[in-house]
Amino acid sequence: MIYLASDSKSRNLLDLLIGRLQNDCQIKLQDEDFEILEADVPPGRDQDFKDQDSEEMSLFSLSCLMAEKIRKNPQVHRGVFVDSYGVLPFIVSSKFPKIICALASDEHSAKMTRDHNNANLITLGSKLVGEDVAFSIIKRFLLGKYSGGRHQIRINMLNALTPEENSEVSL
Amino acid sequence: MIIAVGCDHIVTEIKDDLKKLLESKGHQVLDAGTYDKERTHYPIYGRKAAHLVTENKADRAIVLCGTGVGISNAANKVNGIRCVLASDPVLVQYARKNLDANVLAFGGRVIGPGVIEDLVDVFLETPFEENKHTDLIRQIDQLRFETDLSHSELFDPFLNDWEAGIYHD
Repeated sequence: MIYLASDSKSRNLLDLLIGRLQNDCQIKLQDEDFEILEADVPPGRDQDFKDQDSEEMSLFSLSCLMAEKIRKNPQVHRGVFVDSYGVLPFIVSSKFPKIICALASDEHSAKMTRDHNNANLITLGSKLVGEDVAFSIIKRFLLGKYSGGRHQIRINMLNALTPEENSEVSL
Repeated sequence: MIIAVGCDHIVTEIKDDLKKLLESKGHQVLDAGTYDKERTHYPIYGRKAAHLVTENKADRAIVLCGTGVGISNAANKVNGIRCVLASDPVLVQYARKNLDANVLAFGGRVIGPGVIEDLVDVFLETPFEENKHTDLIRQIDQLRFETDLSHSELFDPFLNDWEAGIYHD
């Protein structure tokens, strides 16, 4: 499953990108391939957000939701997150076990992070990249293959740095 | 300021140049390694540099690998770290102002010396706007999934497997 998310200011760009992915002859994104995550506060995590309805707070909870979705099957699921700068979802989601997240403004990084890091989530800044670069970043990320081998020790180290048993915290 | 630096073997020379740049600007540098071009693993140095910040031995850290993705993820997984991975100064400025980013990461194979210097200047000179997003930063800092294991407890078993040739292309 490809999970997609955006802030309200970047929703137009995300919709444009989804349209291009659906029409791309290599990706051929189908309705059943993706899900757009909305900025609802995840169940059980609403206490801290009662009086804080800023865009950043909803982006925080959306980033947590994205990470929780992907880490259920981190080898298979992918995430694409577009907001103004990409950095808040990058910081938040990369803290979660089994999440390897790239914040990319260039196409080379999008390809290499699949090849070397087995990244499962990419974040983009709609204020940083235009439509064509954003599309190329996402396309390279979705088509890119992990080469494994010597790179796997680093992934195992990252996963050991945030073990799953530490993830039962109340947010 | 006291700045920790960390890198993997792909970008050691760029880290050494960064060290000189920081020292020329009057900063003290704590070098978490790696120190040569022998093949090694970015999580070791990302975590080490990040711990120098969270243990209050350094004010900030700057980390780099090929794309910056691997080492920035290692840094961000450390409790209390807010690491921005950037190739644009405007992104670093946003992350300092709004998120009080305490680690800067970049890809040594992605950007060149001019952009690196620009990112570093913006990272070190942009203050956090204290009235902004303190609740948000508190929420981020409550994401504490990092293991309690020491560096050697965490990494030595993997390094033993590496020496034994378990990880190969």
